[in-house]
Amino acid sequence: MRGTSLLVPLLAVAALGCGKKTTSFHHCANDSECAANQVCFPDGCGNLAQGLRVEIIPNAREALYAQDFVVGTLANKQDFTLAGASTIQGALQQLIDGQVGTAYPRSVSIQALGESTLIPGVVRSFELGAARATYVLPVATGTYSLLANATEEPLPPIQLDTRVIVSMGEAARADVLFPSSTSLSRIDGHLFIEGLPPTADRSMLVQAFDPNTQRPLSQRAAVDPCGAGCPRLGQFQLQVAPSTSRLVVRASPVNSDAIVPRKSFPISLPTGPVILELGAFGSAVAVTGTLRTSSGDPLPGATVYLEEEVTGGGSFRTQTGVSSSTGSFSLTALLTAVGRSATLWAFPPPESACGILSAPVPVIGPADLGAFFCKAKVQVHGLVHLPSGADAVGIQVTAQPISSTPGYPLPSNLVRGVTDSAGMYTLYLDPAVYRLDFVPGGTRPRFSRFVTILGELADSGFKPVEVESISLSNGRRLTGTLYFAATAGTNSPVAALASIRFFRLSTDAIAPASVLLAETVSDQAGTYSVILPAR
Amino acid sequence: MQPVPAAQNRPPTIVEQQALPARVVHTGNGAGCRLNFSLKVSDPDLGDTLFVRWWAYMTFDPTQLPQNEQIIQPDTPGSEIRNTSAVWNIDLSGPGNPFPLDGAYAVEALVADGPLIGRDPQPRTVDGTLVTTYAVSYVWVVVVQTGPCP
Repeated sequence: MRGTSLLVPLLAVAALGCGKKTTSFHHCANDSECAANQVCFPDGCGNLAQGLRVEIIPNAREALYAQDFVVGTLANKQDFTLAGASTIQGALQQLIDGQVGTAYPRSVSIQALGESTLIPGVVRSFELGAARATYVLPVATGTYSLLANATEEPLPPIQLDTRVIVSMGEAARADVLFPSSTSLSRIDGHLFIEGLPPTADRSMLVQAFDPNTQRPLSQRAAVDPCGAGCPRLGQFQLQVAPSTSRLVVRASPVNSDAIVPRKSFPISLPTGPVILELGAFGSAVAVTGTLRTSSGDPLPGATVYLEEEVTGGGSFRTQTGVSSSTGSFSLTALLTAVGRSATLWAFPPPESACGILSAPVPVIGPADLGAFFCKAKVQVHGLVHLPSGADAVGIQVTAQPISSTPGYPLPSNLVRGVTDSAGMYTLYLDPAVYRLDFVPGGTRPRFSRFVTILGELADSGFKPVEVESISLSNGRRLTGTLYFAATAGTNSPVAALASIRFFRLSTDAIAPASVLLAETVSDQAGTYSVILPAR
Repeated sequence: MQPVPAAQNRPPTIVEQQALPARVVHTGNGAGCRLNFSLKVSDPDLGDTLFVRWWAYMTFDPTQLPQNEQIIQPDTPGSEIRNTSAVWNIDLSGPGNPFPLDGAYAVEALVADGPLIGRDPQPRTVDGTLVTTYAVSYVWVVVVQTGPCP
């Protein structure tokens, strides 16, 4: 016993001596760490039949969107009965002369943004392009914020104060009431670029936003360009709800590739005509540079752009460029304001060993910014075993970025790997919190764990990270049939080619609120089959 | 005796019933703005590995590098419609946001039953015979406007 207790710290010291950092999962690693009737889920040990949620999408093309279920079963067969379409519907009205209930006759676009009520974290959004007087928007079950936008006149956008909860097969009602046109507060003003109205090649838009919530308070309005003789001198007009007292007007170019900054102007109401000035941000300048790996080799295929604060108080983001085979890039920028920040961002291609690069680079004129050396990503490796203890060979491993860690941006790409003949996988990751998914196939279930890659610096680059080894779970096959209720109004009694996803609610504070356990598609007879974890 | 027919490959398809979200999406780009694209893919050749590439662009450029990639392995037992979805989850408030500017973008998923070089599926060997491989794509329109997501 004494020999073993000495051996553990010695091994740890040996590992540190190699520059490795061993990291654990946020919770348990293997089922053996859990009670006899529990499984080690991504968020910790849990009962097999608790916290399971199921999302079924019968047929999105036919507007039969997701329906959610709670299941608590250890049975081998689980049928589901689906309802017909769920909708949000209501009247589109306008307050005229104090009279509510006047049907709004012009076109309105409707947007419902929300998430599943039963499976938190599963985001859902639905849109209706044009409705008049009334609307019917098919949606998935869930809890939604509703936005309505009059598209034929500049009424302020409407966001309903209360969230709309939609249940299976239900028609949830949400009426929309636009204010009367005559009651709106109007903001008249002029926008100037270095004292002059915007020219046609620098066309500008303005829009009012809530300074606290950043919600749009007006529609976007064009600034009149400088025409022959500039008769209208860059005029614009915005209309906001009568109760509005404070807002921010944001000015931005119409053409996304225009070399013009964006700028925000705080305004209190009521106000007379306002003068908004973008300031003397100067002319475009060409900057170049070269991206290199930590060993000095060229880094091709990286997406590059520059964000900066410019003279006059606006902000500017260049168009994105891509580094060439020699690692060189060129961007068209504006001069950075004295004492203000500018950041060069470079996102290497997913297969590159280079990590995301950000560097402070003020632009003071046309220049070659020089060479930028990326840090190598963190080398992350670990072992995967079968429940028998044997090495798990050829298992697909993917790392899904979940949230950022201090000092590093959230990566956007999945990273993949496969276990080798010794059951070891090696991934190259930027620092972040990841969900590692192991997909063995066959009769073994998908297996996920959360892990934080902090990115501890070594002499050159990051310390390699060894992840705690795992043993895959045993699996149990769950089958069943997806039926439509008689009231669903569908032609078929079963849901063919429906998507089914099984989730577990997560208690991990920095992970998504629900974690995917299994997914499949029903066959033509509406029958499905999935593999779930078992002891 | 007729000779054994040459090995053939059949193309993959996209299960349009399960493509999400709807074809046209309007979104802000502030904190909390996320878009989750997903679709199911089908291939009658149950053993085919499927290769998925994702792009977001304002103007089509055949040389643009993919912004996300995914490999969907065959299911065991084999299933024509693959259990694993092709997915691209996007955080519009992050520095890696593929929709950096206001305006209309196309989001394209390209699914092939052979390895892709650029957008071109490469021939592969089936039973000792080099066979043609195929690619299909699905496109969403994403309209981005500065602002938050409720």
